[in-house]
Amino acid sequence: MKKIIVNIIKSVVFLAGIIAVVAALGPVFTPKGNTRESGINNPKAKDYLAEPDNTIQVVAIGNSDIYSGFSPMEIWHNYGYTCVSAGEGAQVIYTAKNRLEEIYKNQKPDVVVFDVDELFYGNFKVRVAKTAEAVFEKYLPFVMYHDNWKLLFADEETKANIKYETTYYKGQMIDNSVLAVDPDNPPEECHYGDDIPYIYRKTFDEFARMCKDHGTKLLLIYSPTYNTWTKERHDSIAKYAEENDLDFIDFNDGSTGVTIDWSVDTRDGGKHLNSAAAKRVTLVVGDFIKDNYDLTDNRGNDAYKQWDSDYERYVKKYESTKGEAGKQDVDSGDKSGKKGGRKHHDKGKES
Amino acid sequence: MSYTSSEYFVFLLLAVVCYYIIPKKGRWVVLLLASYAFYFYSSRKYIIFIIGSVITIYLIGLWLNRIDVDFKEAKKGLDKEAKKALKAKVSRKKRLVVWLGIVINFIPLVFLKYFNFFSYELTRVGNYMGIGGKLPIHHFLLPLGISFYTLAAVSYISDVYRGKYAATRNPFKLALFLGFFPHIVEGPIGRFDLLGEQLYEGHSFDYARVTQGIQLMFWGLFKKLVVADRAAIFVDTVFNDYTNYSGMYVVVAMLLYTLQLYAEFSGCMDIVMGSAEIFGVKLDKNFERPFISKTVSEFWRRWHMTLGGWFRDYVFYPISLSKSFTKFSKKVKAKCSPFVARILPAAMAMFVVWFGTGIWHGASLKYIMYGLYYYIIMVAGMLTEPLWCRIFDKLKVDRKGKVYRALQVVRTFIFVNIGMLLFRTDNMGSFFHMFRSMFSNLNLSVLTDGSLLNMGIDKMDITVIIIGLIFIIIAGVLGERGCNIREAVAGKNIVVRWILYYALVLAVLILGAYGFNYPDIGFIYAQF
Amino acid sequence: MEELLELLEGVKPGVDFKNEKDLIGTGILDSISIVEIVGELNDEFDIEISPIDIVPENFKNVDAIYALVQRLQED
Repeated sequence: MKKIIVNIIKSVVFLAGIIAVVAALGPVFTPKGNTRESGINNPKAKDYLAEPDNTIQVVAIGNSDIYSGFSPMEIWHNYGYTCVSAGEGAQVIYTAKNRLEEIYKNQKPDVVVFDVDELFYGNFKVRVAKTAEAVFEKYLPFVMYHDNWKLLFADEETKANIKYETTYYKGQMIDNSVLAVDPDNPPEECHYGDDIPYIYRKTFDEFARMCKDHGTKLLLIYSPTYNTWTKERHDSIAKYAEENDLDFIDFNDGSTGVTIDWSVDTRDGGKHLNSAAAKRVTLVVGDFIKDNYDLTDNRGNDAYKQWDSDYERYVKKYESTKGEAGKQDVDSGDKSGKKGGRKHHDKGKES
Repeated sequence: MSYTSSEYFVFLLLAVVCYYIIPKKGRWVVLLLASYAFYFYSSRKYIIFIIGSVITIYLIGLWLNRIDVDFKEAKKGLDKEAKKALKAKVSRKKRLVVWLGIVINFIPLVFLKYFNFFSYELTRVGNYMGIGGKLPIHHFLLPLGISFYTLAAVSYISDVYRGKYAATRNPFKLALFLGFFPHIVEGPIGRFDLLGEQLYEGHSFDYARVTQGIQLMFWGLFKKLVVADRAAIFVDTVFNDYTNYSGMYVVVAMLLYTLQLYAEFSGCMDIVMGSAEIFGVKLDKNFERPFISKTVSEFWRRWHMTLGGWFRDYVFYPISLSKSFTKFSKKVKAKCSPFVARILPAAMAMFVVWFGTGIWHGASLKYIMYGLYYYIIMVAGMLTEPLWCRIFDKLKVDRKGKVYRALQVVRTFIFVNIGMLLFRTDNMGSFFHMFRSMFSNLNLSVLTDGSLLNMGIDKMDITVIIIGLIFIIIAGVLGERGCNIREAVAGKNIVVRWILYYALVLAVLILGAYGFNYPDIGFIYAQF
Repeated sequence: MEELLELLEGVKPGVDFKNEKDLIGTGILDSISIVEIVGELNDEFDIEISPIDIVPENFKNVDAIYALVQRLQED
């Protein structure tokens, strides 16, 4: 009997020790900058970490639909609202909440534009896995950032690049090329159900409450999508918006006057909009914010001169990526990782 | 479910908890249910194939036993002549039955795995002969582990046929034997007499055994996640774009692939054996320091041992000891020199073994050549042995000496690496291209000028690979000396022990090639 | 026993069968040698060694082989 107790104690202490070490290493490995060299994931979506405190008025959060289909620079240029995008591919709501928490540390945005497409993303396995990932990211950052042990041995050049740096694209993937939808080969279906799944719902409530508590207007949008919108999903969101007194702009039911032509408005065969279409979407959102929320137009304000020069670079990129897809050098919005060809060696797995 | 995924650890934890909660007698049921839940999760409706296998070998086994029982009854009261005649008849019947079982079991494997190969090759031959048209190609998904459990199934009915043990009346024992979740994906290929009972009898919780199983799992995780998956990045960069690389790039990629395959496969075996150990089940070893082999034959006795053992016991011996074969051998002995008489029959039986080993790995010419590559080396070795004997005698070389043995190890290592190069390339064409390219460019400078750092891994990755390799070598040396490392560590005081365990666990957690910086690298042998 | 030793030495000359205790573990007898030995044993002693008899325990050393032969002769 005594042996059993000793063994149990040994195991518990051992395990506790591992968890303690792992928890303690979290802050050591957490990135100290927002550049790729800092070892952060999705560096191109992390502009908001570098913006000066309390300067951002509008934040867009969502999955790849938002980083492709919404343009912070257009918001700045046409309305004078400082805007960044914190969208990531295949984002789940728990991750979005993590982002929002990070944003509120240094910013007091007036508006959060949230693309609801991610609320229907993933089958059960994916939802659980990605949510677990996001939970670990918050409570045990070691799991996400363990690979940053390398930064402890980095050379001077790399160390010099571990810093916070704003970007000119503000989290948007600027790609203005055209690759029409192939009706025989539509984008893969990875959205399921018509109601906000239970596993997302509670977190979404917290997300909305956080905005309310901070006095931020939460603006829900359903950005244009080729095949992930359904009337039922619209209704679920509309209902939620009504119950929680939130505004909701749906780009898929014809209510905005923006029509998407999937043979010219997409950069990758229907998965995402290109930057020209993103501009049209953004202007509708911008008009809505202008007409309904009371934000300061900061154009002409000396403190935001940098935003004008960023806009110039945005336009250059916008123009240079026009044309047929695959022929330009594209700034990918969310690819991180190292240099060097890294192809997936997949010899065909069993089912 | 990948053995290195977090899902697997959750699954394993649940299985272990259930196993030890249930009273001993019912514990095998937990293993059975867990195994088939694992199978269904991974393979869905393809589960019918393994169930079909279980049913088939269960019935065939009982049928064979029934024939024996009937024979025993029938031979009472017969005279010697009649007995002999009946025995011959019964033998024939048993042979038909076991072959029926073997064929039924192989049909799904051959059809699903090799359909496209036959289709494609027959079309090619047809076109060559002027016959037009194309045979259809289907993209079949393979049921999980079919290449492995089919061999285990055939081993069972073969053993029953030969009377090694009686067929079991309990189909669930067979179901568990074939589908046991630690060995279903990549083996080791078990034998029913050794494994069947172990799986069936419940085992008590033994803290030392369970913790040692976990330690073995972490060692396997270290080899796979820290070493193999890192090496894979460099290897993939070169092999996926092989026309752009030559000289040292290819040599290094080849060597790293050998390391990758060994670390991954043996690492997976450690995870799997460790998992089984937690339940008190001992699976057979698949690796035993293969790279100290002095000959290619020895290599295949130390690498993927259960596969080699299967071919030896169920192909090589049955062929070599069959009546027709021994008759043939005698004829050869009578007609040819004793030298040829010894080698020819062996070479013929070996051909079947190595052709089989090659094609077992995959449905392509490349894999067949992979098997025959080793075959040719072995037979050439056998044929030239007298020549070497004379040469080394004249040169007064001590073939038992340290230097000679070391050279043998190096030679074998080179042969094995070339085999690995073939194994990894897409087809024979790319193999020859890459092989030639190793010599076309003497760019030794890339080893020191930093070019190797542009292949997807950086200086620190390379350091980790080297350190990992050193530890693998140390473990190998200790193992070869007969040291049971886990036992040895368990004998040390608690401070030393815990430092080592913490180091291993943290090495895996910190250095593991997982997370957003790394591609998801699967298991190479899981596709077979 | 004498004939056995002679037979074994005929198949694999140069091996000290009398004293070697572990023919399998040391790799002295590989599957090809075993097949040859089995062939000779079958002829010499008029027995029938089947594949299931070919396990390490039966061929570990000359005593084990001797025991195997005797056992099969009784059948």
